[in-house]
Amino acid sequence: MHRHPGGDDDYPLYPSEAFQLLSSFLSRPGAAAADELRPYLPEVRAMAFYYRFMLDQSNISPIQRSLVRQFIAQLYAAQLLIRRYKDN
Amino acid sequence: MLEIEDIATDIRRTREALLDGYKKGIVNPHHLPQIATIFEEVGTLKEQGSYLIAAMLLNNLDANLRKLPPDIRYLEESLKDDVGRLVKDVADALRRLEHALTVSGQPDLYASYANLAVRVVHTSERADQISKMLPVVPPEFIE
Repeated sequence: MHRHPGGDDDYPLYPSEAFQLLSSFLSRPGAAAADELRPYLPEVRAMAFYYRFMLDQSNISPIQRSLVRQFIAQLYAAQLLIRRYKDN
Repeated sequence: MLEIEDIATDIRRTREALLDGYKKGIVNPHHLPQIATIFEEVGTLKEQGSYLIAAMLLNNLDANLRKLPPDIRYLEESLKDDVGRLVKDVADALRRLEHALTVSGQPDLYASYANLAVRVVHTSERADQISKMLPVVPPEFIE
């Protein structure tokens, strides 16, 4: 689905790609899916960090706010799951 | 031995799981890969491309449904309704497939495949549109 981070063709992950990566992982989590998602986590965390600031601003639409909340919640859930696969 | 009624039952369970999931606020396509595998195996054993086409469509549908936000409980109402319509359309396409397999036969089977293909494309497009509604992030945050 994606280029591998750190490769020669490396370019930043789009928020839409990160959102779909998280959605895909959470709807069918597994050790292999965790391995696929793990390299992207630093970039996804950076986006979520920025979005947390955005939540305090009033200039985003209700739909954007709703999706931002979903993004942050999905990242939180994905990180919990990924840790579990690492422990196993 | 696996009968066509068994496949129809699996399709019905998949449809019910999708609709039940939506009522609980989740997008649950988890049964789809299972029936795709059955279609794949039947198609390979019988050497019938028609079943393989169905398998490909069901696998694509699964992949595209997984691009949607899995937890829709806290989404904004209009988005939630939007995802709900998509899920219901997919469930309806599965109902038509089940009916064509058990009752109406070949011409309807291809019509149900065509309907399923439209749902595959529609789900993918809508999932992409929804995820692109996220606000822009400055490049320095994602490098």
